Amino acid sequence: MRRLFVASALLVLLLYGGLILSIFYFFDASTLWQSLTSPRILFAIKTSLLAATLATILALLIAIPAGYALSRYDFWGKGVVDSLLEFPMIVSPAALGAILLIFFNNPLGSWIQEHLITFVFSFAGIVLAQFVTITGVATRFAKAAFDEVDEELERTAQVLGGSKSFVFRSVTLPLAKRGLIAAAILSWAKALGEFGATLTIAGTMPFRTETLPISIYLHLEMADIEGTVALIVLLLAFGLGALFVTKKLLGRVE
Amino acid sequence: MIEIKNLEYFQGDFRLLIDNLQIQANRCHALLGPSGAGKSTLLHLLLGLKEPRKGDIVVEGRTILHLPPHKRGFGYVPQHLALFPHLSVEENIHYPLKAQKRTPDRAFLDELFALTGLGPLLGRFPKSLSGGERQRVALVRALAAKPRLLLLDEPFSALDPNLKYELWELLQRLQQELRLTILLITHNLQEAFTLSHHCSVMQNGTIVQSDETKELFYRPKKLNVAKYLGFHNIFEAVGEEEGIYLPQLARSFCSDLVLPKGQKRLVAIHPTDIVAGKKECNNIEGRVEWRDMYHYKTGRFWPKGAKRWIEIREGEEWIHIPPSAFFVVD
Repeated sequence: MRRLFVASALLVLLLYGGLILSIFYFFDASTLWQSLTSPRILFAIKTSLLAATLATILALLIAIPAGYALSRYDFWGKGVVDSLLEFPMIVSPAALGAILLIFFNNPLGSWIQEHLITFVFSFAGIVLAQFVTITGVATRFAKAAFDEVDEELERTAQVLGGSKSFVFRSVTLPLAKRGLIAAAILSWAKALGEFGATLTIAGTMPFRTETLPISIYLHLEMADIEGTVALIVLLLAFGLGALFVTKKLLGRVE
Repeated sequence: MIEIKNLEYFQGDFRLLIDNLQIQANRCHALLGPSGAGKSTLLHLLLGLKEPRKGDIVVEGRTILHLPPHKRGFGYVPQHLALFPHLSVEENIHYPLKAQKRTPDRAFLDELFALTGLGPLLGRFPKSLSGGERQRVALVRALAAKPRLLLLDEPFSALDPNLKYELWELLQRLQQELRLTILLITHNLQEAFTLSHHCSVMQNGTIVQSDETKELFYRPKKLNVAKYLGFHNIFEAVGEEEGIYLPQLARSFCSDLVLPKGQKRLVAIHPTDIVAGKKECNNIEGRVEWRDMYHYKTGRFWPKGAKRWIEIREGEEWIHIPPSAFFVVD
């Protein structure tokens, strides 16, 4: 039994590790350097990092209170909200982008585009696509983080004189810190790798809406394997770096 | 003084109804009762964590029902202590002061530290403390803001006996020296008897008896309370010209309790009232069938010709039941 389970775990390593290693067959250090010094790629990296950071901040502004509400309160529509958190994972990214695009073609969407902010084929569109993709999962992580905080601690803090907001700031948030940091970094990594929805709503315009995953797609389309691999290595470095930092922080934060 | 008046609360099939319960200032009031009696519900109503359907809670002449939990001015030690794991002992203790934006009273805190011996532990974190140290921190934290009522929800239930006795002693000392008003929720009879001045027994969502602790433990008025307190000496009694007749013991007794002739009631006798040997009346000959030497020398005495035994603490061949020992339970 143990052998079977351990074998399954090692199979996961073989699957992902093997795939990662396989790209190094086409890896070329000079191409990587070229990519790192190319203004277009640098712009794509900057766009990716900036958009992912903004999308994560916006997502957390909703995910933290929403996750707390789902964890602590009973309210009308709670079951539906809880089910919809996985909506971006169920719907394909391209479909999600298409839904956004369709929305901005209806009267309300058109009004937003004309009077407030232009999302279609713009940097704002990238942020929106990433925000929509990660808000559900960020809320799920935040809810899990708040579920871990013993409600008895909050009740006691309240009875000892803490208003609800004081208790939230002084007890709930610090105790959910580990989970919330994990939510932030994993959401950021997911936003960084977002492709389908971004492509659909923001397009692939160099020096405007080109992100790192879109660069990968464009290089592959041009059959530039070495260039594609160099960009994958960069994306992997950012993503795995984020996961590494998460684990380090989770290990350190009490 | 804290007064609970006509308090009513429903939750599913459970109904809590407290006609009148008074917690006198500067005294320890124990709320006893089996699991599911409604003790925790009453506590949550007091704390403002649940809302009653009707009734009132009055503290020092003012209703507090409209106040949220953080404005009720209570100190609280929950069953599992709920020390904040991310805060040091000192930060835990200062929490109520910080929450209520109050300046710490250094002299009072120093007095608390001296009484509880917490001084050297202030920089430590809860997870590095022993069970007894954690209890002390929870107690001091609850007292730091000088609450008008200290609510203790079975805080000693998970401790081993030696530590428990030590903390009982500490609580008694704190209560006496700081003149605390305490409501102690417990299902431990010994704890309630040792610590409280006044005691209320709760069953099925209502207070069945509320009395001075010794009166309640030695002279329960209700049959349910007597049984809950572990009384075995409950007998049917029939009034006679002089005294009472106990059919189960097949004997007549002279008694200070007067029952009209022929009237049947249930009477109880506390085992500590029964003494060894013979006196002018109410002497019973028999034998001790079983004795628990560990637990207060409790024993079972079988009177000659009787249909059941009497619980005793002393006596071998003869026991004497004083006429003042009989009292009615309904």
